[in-house]
Amino acid sequence: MKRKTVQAYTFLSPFLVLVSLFYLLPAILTIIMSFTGLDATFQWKFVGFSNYKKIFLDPNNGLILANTLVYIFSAMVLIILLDLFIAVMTAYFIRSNAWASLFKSIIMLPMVTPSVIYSILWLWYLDATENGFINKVVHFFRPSGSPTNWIADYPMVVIILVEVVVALAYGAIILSSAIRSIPENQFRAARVDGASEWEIIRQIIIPNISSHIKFVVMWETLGLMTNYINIMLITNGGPLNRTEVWALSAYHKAFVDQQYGYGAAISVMLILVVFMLMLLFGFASKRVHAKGGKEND
Amino acid sequence: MKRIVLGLMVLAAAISPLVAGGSSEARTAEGKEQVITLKISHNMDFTTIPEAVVDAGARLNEKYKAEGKNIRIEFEKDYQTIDWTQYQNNIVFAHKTGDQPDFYAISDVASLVKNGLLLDLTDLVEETKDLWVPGVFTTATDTNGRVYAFPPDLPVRAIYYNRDCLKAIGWTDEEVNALPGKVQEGSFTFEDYIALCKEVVDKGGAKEGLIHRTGAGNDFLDMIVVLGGQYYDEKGTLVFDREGLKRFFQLTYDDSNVREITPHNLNQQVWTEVEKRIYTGDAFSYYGPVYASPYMASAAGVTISEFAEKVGFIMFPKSQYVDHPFVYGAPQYVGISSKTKYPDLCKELYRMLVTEDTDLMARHAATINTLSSVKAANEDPQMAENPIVAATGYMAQYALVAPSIDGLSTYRSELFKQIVALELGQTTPEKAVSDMETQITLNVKNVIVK
Repeated sequence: MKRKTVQAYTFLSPFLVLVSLFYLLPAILTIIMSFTGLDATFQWKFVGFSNYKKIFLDPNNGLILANTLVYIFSAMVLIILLDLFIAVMTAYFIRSNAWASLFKSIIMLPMVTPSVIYSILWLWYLDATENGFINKVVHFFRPSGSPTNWIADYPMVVIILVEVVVALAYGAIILSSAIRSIPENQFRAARVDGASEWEIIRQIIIPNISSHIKFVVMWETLGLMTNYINIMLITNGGPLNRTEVWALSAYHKAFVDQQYGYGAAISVMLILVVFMLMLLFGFASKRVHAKGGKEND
Repeated sequence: MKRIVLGLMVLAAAISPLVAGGSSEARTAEGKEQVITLKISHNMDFTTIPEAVVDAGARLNEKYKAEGKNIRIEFEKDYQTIDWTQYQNNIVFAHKTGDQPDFYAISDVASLVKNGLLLDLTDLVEETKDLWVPGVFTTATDTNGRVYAFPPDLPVRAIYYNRDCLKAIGWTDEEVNALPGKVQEGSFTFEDYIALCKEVVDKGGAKEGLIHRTGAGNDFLDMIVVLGGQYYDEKGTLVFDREGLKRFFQLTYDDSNVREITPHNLNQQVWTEVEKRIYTGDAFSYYGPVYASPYMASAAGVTISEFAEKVGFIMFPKSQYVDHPFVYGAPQYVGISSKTKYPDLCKELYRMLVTEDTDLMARHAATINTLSSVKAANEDPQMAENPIVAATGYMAQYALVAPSIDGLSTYRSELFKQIVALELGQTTPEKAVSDMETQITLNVKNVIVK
């Protein structure tokens, strides 16, 4: 047993080195950088906590934090509901593997499309003039109306929608695989007992895939917190910071304003929140397991 | 097996001198010719800048040959098209690792000078000072008066206007063609220009009177200046001029929401659709760099000559705040690494471009439709052949060049955020000034607020 453990650690050691080099070291460097006034000159001058003080002094950060929460919460709720819907449809109601796979392949397209191309497509769709695709469609049904400036009038809705469409496939595939792994006799027994389809979903499917749902929630939360590429390409945080989220703000401060120290401080705050969330998820799943264990006893 | 290994080692030893190269290195090849390899790096489209240096090197090789000197200059080229910040960061890191190019393009002179990465060119500039268009070294000069960068051109930012739009509202050809001259002599003011934009829209000459780029940029700074605003002082310190900005923000707000000459939704439109509108006449005028005209022509699907037939250029006219017309020039500076092994040779190549080889400077300027920083190059026949340069050549004598300003990128991005909101009617000029002041004082270390 002991020998096996040593062997396992030996096999893992190259990965531990890589993880240290490419994950831990940058995180440590970011923390150090956050205490410097590093700018375009790349001179590391320590400035104490002034970057952190600046975070609290910047009146925009309140709005940015609120944007981040609205964005993550709304996108997450939509993603999970739609993931569940697609998973139930493709794994429970549609029994044909071929059709389910075809559908899943289609919803995977946005995920495998490079962000730049995907964002340009959205920009074309949402173009504020009568040349925009959506405005053309609206004009077809309502010829007298003037074109809508979608990005300016509904910026948060736009970025949530964009992110939901991209993120949909991953969770849907995980949840549909989880549904397919539920033993068929559970469904049969429920039907024999006269359960409706809604009751089957509520009482059998959701409890059986709850750990998978939690995983998708955690995964997507982390993704939504740290991924800002589509927002940057479509609204760039505007108009007037209405779609500026925390991660994008770190990028803007570091790479547009070249305040690398300040950008690093914003990133450190994000890393701390992500770390705390991971601990919270870990703690929550331990409690669920412990509870499950007691119930089984 | 041993024989094979031994054979391979001998072969490797034999061919290694042939494959060994290395940048910025002098090596003696057969016939005792000294080969000097210089690394030249560039970013973005205008590769005629580094190619002028490379061709000057070829001419120097000819000269060496004629003089019987056994020296040959070779270039190792590295041309990229990446984000400017990323490019400049790469240059800084290349210097830290000792792999720096001898010549490179520059986006921010000041930070490279602070890092000590640029060779001092003051002696070269002193030696050739009468050959340059005045003011082209402003951004390249530090607070001690030392010059660190070479200006290969003098791209100016001006106002484009569509001739057909004016004809559509009843102007004659003579009146249309006389407009640049009227601006030059001061009889057509900025206030007249804004009124003209409105008149063109009201009389159906164009759907839009005045458009601009849909991202942050220096173009907006010219509008601040024409309205009597200031954004830098003579030392290159950023200035936050509340009154000047308020006037600019009021103009921006009114153009979209009161005069309705700039569309509310301009910044949410696809740029390739916007930029062709000056040629098509959907928009009457635009302000921005003259060198953008080939891109606009290309977006409209016409040649640069066809574009120049329809589109004219005027300087920023005098206004109730500024007593003379002006354009701002922004040379695309390049420089020599302070760590080059061949400082004299590199400077000699630059010297050639300003003295005997000005045709290479003219070739670059004419190719990218801009003025040259060197007087003789502006007189070169290549320049006269270019319709855009021919129409804007006189602007060189009115060109102002801003110094290198710390914090300008933050200023530009905050300015643009407010422009977007003002045009959408989502903020007021007063609030825009106040919000921008908060951000600038918080994020720029050295700023004068007035």
